[in-house]
Amino acid sequence: MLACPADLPPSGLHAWVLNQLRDEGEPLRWAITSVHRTAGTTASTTDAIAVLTLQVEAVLIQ
Amino acid sequence: MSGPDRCAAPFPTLLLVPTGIGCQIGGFAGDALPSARLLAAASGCLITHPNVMNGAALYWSDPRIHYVEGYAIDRFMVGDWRLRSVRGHRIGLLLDAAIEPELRHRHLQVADACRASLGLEIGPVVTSDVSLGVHLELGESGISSGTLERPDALLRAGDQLKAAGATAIAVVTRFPEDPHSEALAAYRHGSGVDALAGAEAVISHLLVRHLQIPCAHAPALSPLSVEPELDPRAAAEELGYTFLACVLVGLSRAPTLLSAEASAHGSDLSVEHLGAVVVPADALGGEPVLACLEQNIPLITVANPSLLTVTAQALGLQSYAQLLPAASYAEAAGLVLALREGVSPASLQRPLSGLQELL
Repeated sequence: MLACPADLPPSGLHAWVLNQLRDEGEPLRWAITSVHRTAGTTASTTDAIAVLTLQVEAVLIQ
Repeated sequence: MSGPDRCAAPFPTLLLVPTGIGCQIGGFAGDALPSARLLAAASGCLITHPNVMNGAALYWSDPRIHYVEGYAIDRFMVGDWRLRSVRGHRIGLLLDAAIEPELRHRHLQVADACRASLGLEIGPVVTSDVSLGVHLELGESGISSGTLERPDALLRAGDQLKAAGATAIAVVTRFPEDPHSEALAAYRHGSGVDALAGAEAVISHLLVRHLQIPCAHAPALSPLSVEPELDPRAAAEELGYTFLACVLVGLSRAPTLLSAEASAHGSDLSVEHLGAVVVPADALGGEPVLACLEQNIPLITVANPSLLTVTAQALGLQSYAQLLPAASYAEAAGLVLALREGVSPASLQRPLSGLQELL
């Protein structure tokens, strides 16, 4: 589950998800498999803002 | 205009039907192939992946369709790799050491049949030095995936084939089977997901990433008993003893995979040439689609239900100006043809909104 700012433009989603995954390993196969739009916080702010919670399923090379 | 039929120049189009997510069209045994044929005719140049084209013993060869494995499509879409058409490949055959002798013979005979009856260049054959150990899994969303106990042995065998002159690789691994499972029964009756497809994608992704040559996978499985209520979409997998023929045919003219830095030919395809991406409307979360959004490429979203609900609305894409919803692949083909011919898709719909003036 990854929380990203809801105001992230669609054109920025690819790079944003990849950056999160690369913290865990090299992505071999991945996709966003569900999306929830809620109020919450992200890594960059503790203020409550609209966030997209993305479920990402990935096969990573460690 | 080109040619006597006055068709516009080919309009490279990418068709994606993500593997193992249970799409109503394309979630079974090559059952998106009719849609691919139609889109190839509409676009004049269709790039798609083995899951769309592979119907076990059934296949369709069309010079307008480019058979590109999913990892290579990911690299193509982010601009890392280009595609170059070839007249033919020397297809190496990589067999899992876990395949039993009789099943192995069946696969070798399919390869021989494709040499003798279709004129394909196949060989050499390499068997992995240990069993590859395929395991099937389901992700949290229910989509299929899998793991391999010995990816090192897979890649070693791939290296051997490439060093021996193979320019493409068909890989056959022994898949676990449970002929009485509920999942298999559901699949044969036309529901649920293809439980094998996710693991197949992992195996072919590993090889393509490592070797940068076209690769595709066929699972080795024992024949099933006759199922009188078999769904027509799953029927192609019950025609023979293997799933290999379609893979060999698909690979035989699969484009070569070139790094972006390699010297370019005029006919090479790169993401800059891509006119549109066609994808199920509720499966927009894959890397190629997200890369398409980065590059402002027209995205045709087709109603093709699956397990997923990653829609344009869920991702907040309503404002993406290049979003073109279609109720069917027939409508998607019409949209591709409109784009190819320079007809504005908006002009084909009503109401037609008025012009907006920039202030």
